[in-house]
Amino acid sequence: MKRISIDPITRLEGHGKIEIFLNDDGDVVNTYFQVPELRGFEQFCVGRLAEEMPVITNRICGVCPEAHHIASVKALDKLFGVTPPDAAKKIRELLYMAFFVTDHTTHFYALGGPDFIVGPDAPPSERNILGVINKVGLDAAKKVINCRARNHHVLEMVGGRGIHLPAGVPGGWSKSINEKERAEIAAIARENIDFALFSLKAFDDIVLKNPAYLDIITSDIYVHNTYYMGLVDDKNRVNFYDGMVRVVDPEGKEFVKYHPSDYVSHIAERVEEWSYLKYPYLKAVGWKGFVDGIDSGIYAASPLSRLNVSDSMPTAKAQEHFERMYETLGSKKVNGRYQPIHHRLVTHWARLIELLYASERMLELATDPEITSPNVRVIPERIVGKGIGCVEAPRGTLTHHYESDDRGVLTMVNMIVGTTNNYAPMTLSIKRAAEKLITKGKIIEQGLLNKIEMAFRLYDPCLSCATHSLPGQMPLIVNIRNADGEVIRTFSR
Amino acid sequence: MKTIIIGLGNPILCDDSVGPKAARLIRERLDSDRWAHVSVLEVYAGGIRLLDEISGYDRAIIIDSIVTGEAPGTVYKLTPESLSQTRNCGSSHDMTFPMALNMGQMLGMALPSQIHIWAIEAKNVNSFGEELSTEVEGALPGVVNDVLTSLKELSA
Repeated sequence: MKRISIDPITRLEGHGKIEIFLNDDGDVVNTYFQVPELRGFEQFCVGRLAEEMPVITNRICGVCPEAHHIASVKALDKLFGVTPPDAAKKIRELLYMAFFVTDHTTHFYALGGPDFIVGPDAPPSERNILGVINKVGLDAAKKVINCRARNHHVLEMVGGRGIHLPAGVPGGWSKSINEKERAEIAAIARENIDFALFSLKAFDDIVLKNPAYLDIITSDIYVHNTYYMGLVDDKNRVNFYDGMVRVVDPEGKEFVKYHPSDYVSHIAERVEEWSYLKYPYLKAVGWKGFVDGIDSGIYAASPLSRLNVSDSMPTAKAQEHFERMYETLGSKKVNGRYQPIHHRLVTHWARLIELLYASERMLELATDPEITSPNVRVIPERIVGKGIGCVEAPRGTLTHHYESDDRGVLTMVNMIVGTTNNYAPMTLSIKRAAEKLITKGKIIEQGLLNKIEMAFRLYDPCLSCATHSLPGQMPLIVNIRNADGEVIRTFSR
Repeated sequence: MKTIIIGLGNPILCDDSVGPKAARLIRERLDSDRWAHVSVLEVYAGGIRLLDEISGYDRAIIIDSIVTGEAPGTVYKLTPESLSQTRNCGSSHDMTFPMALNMGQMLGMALPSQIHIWAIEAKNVNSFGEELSTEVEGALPGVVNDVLTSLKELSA
């Protein structure tokens, strides 16, 4: 059996490794996607006071501390049996929208950008943010930097600190927003809307109008007919902060809609001996291996998944672009809603539509008269002992589940992070890409690594935290081994 | 000279917390009047986030853990030029620190003219915990002293 090893993956949160196994005929048998193990988070938290969790869990990850912080305070609301005032919920959601704008912007331009804006076959030396800047121009690059800076300012102002925000507390938020701050945030939200529209236009001009890129997006290389998951509001529209978990089947029919606190009844986790990862799947459908289709319990939770489970977008401009995306990809409306798009690279487009939605929602909240209410906290007076909090993280549905004793000391912690939902779909995508590019021992070298990487980068996976101590962007190394496991060829860059 | 000292690392990831721990010790030992031009910060991510933090300063001193395979507790003094080889300070979610610096220069951001980096070889960055390994713990006071001495020399 030949083994092709791609290690490490560039531009990914954390350090992963891909193993591609070929049979004696030179065809792909299996692809394994491995990530390093970070040990002991649950044990580390057991025995601590539950109220410490929002500031501990936001240090799990250097990329999405805000998502952990908000999921954590929502779990604590339940654990302490307290309902935050409306103003506090709105402040949390407002902060969360600023975070989404920052995170989606960074992903599109710094991570996904090199794949699309620079192009999958561009020389590696140009396939980075500097190449993106050369292509979109200095003025556009300044817009990206300014977008990050102004939303970072909002996170600092509302969250109490720019890094590892501390403001969320069970029962609400620890500081209110004054009128001056509100006006400033509203102005920033308006700039965000312009920026999101600018980004969608850039996607249109650079990607959609380029037949070669459009071919890659619509080719069958990255198509999987899986189930999809996402939070929806009471009108089955996208919601990042709150709602019910909706799952649709590959044909777009609602499979189940459940309260986030019932996740254990619907989601099971598959353990494979070759990986540290657990692969979540739909209990009611069952695990059928790494295959797609209506009989396989594999689901995806990503920007595209969130749009696939929703009947519409809650804001006007995002709705226009939502319709345009489904129409462009030839999706038909069945029972009043678009059939899901299974082309995974469209996730990048969906991410930009979400960027627009987050900006519009931010403006709605910043112009809501209640947002400056000083009533932002209800003091908890009891301990229920169990709390489950759920939000949509940029990378997928994020669930925090805590249990405590009657003093509020944690006895159990479980978390399903956004990326975890997508481990199985990512494995599917990597395998599909490898199968298309390696047949009968013939390896299409041109762009091979890029195309395999593109298969999982679109999920924006966040595999570990504290990556600054681990290697960042490194040269790719590919070993091709013969049936005896000897390296017969090495690619590197 | 407006200076920022950054302790880089995750405070709950064992040896990775050496940067933030060093920053805390340095902050305690800086006299606030004499060192008013010096800011001390704990940061958890490289790439653009690190760029955001150092922009607007004349000088940046960064303290971080590093994994190269040498003996744990080994201390390296690096410059941004040596970073492209050591690949330290990379946030693989966005870009490496050298690339972020390059981008910042392209965009005309106000970046420090001097960047000094202290890196401490880590033993364990794969487990959650707030304690350092014995080797890294042992190296910490020396790094704190070196940074303070260097700060005084640079400011003399």
